[in-house]
Amino acid sequence: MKKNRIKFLIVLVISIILLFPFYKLFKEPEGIETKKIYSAYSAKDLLLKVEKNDTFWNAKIVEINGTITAIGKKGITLDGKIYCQFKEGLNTKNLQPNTTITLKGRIIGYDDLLEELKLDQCIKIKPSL
Amino acid sequence: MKKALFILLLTLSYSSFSQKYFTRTGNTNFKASVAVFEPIEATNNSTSVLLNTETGALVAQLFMTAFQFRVALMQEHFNENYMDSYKYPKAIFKGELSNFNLLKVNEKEKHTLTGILTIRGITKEIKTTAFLKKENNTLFLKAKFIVSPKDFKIEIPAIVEKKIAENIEVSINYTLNEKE
Repeated sequence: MKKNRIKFLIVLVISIILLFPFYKLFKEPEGIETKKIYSAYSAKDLLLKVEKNDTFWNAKIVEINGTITAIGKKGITLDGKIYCQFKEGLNTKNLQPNTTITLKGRIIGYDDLLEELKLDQCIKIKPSL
Repeated sequence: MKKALFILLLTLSYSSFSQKYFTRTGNTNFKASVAVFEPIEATNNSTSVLLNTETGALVAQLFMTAFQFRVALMQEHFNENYMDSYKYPKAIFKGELSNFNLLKVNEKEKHTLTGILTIRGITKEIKTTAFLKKENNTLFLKAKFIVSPKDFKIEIPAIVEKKIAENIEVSINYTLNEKE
């Protein structure tokens, strides 16, 4: 009886070890919610920092707060210079221009075409829903 | 003479100011799948596009890291091994829609779109057919074209060579609105 139980445990452990690579292989990308925040900034500070060294900031997750200057369907503009695209499925309803907001999002880069810093996958932190 | 020049400059500056359509959230997608193997495709929903509706000049720009894959590992390989996204963060297309006329867009659905695509600092000429439609103040632009990893000197290791298509289909789907 005891022998059987030990055998069973060994088989279980081996199969977990064998299956783990497959789990890693087909894992979905991690959602923004659980990703670690690199640091928190005001919209103005972040702009200054990114201007200096733009490749360093590529794909960094940040918390950012600023004043809403424009509201679009898929995202908002902070301080007139930072476009924050919301995470798919979130909408910008209930937001008011000229109010302050704190978001968590991913920097994708400085868009020299439209002359603004661009973030994607943004979720609202403050004010909370 | 001076007056004429002044008027000329004034009209020039006026016309360069006006008439631009744009989006920040354009959809660019690519499919590099080979039948039998797992699908390799990704979508970028953050493409910036600027269209000058007087000349038909079109510029589109996207960030490589904003391409979303279904599988995390694929996304990692795409950015780190194939595209060098940290060294070359952007892909840029600069081109032109032939015989573009904003007022007559809906009379003729098909337009020829030609231009230069730059990825990893390497350029490639693109020529394709773009489908255009205008509803109220919104312009819908759709097109497809084919690129190959070889065009941009992307080396694919022999072990996965069979799984990545030689002809990668890129489709663009942009909803443009008038710029203030």
